[in-house]
Amino acid sequence: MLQKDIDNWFMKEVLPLESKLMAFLRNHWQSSDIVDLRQEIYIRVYEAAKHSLPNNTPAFVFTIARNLIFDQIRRKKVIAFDAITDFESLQLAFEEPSVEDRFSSRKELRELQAALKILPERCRRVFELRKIYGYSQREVAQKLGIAESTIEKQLSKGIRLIADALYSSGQPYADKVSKRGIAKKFSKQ
Amino acid sequence: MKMDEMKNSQIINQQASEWLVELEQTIPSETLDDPILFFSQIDRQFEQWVNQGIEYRVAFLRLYPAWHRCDRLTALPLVNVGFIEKTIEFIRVKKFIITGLAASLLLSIVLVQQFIPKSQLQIFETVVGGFQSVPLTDGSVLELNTNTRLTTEITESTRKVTLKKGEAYFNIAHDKERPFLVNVGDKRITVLGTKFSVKYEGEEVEVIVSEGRVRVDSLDTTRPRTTFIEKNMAALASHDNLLVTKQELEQTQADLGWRAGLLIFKQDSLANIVKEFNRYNHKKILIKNKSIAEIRIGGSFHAKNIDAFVRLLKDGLDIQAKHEKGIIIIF
Repeated sequence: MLQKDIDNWFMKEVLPLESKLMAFLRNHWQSSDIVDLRQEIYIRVYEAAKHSLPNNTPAFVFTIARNLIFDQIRRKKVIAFDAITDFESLQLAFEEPSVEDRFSSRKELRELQAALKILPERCRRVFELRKIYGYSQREVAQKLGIAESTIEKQLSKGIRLIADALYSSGQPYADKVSKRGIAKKFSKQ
Repeated sequence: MKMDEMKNSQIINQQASEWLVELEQTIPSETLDDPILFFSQIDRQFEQWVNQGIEYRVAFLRLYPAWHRCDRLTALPLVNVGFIEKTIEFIRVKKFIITGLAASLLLSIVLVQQFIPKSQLQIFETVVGGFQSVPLTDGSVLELNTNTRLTTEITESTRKVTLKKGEAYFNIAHDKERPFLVNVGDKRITVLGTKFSVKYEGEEVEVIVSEGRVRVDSLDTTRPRTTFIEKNMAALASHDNLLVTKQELEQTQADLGWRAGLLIFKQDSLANIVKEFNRYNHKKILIKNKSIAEIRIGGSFHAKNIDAFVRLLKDGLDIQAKHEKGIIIIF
């Protein structure tokens, strides 16, 4: 199996689960480092898939996520009752196939529109000119009268925010857990 | 994995976004089959970065599809960007009026513009059933289909074609300094070196891209709008509406069969097929019997051999034909 096969599987089957995964983590991990947790889960998922791709990806990802949380709890030597209760019903919710047609283009457009809206003003302008009108970075810099290096910073900030919004189905996921914690990290740029 | 070791995910995410923005700038944006391998071969530093660990790879894989999903945004109407352009124009003009000398310069520039001879404009035309291949001085090749008229204007700084009517296939030579523009109806297509066809019939403009990417601007100022169409996509536009669809390669090849003198249909209705034949022939086919109009037919036909087509209809589908002056009636 080529590495690109794992990459493609990851993009096609694991990433769409992100909104459910984050909801699950939010419910069971009352801490601001959820993104770090997600990263660790993705690493473990990717590593485990190297041997062979799983038949049931949602169950696979969920199991890894749950085991990681157990590891954290053990390490912290704190018994977090919230973390242990009602795993079963949550597992079912996680594995439930999505009813919506993910690839309906109208839904896609609406999600993208919503994602754009969350960008700060200047970031959104830069993103529109670059991605929608297809201007090069230099052209965008000329049109807006700002340095090309600034354009690059705005674009990289933009894609991070948009990715977060898209993966959480149009809602930035930092709305339940430690709003101040994660929101502050983003606004630091 | 300890908790403190995990805290760098924000940093890695930021680095991944910076890499993505930089790499996408230097290479035309197309969704690749193996993006990490592709970019690794182009940029050794990126290869080193991504190989530091799975978390780096995963961070990049996460942002990559999001960047390309944004390409679909082109279907949205955007009025505010037009505003940015106008503002910049205004500022530029204002600068010229500052001194008297500058003002007279502006005046002379305007006067000169009015006297530029239009001799670089060339007209090309085909008759019904005609076909013409037109090589341009920049290395591009245009192919005109039946009953088509267009003008070309190639100068040192611009490359422009206006499609007045009909259908043409464009095989455009790459030239970053001179974008290639196609004006058709109230639409303008900007090309960066690619292969595509444009059909202008009645009020509808149809664009099919077989390679590369084109940008279609609607010049209707009440609702300016821009769309990008790439390989294996087709767009059909009338004044206010734009329909963009994905096409299988087979369908694109069928649509462009005319370049080889063929009409290729994939289960199209007889009514549509007849309409298509009638574009290429002076002798028109008329369907007398409405009930046969919806029969689905597939196949390749020589565009100008309607007698053979009509014979096939008789042999294969038992459809009768009556030949009269200038028309063939089928029923």
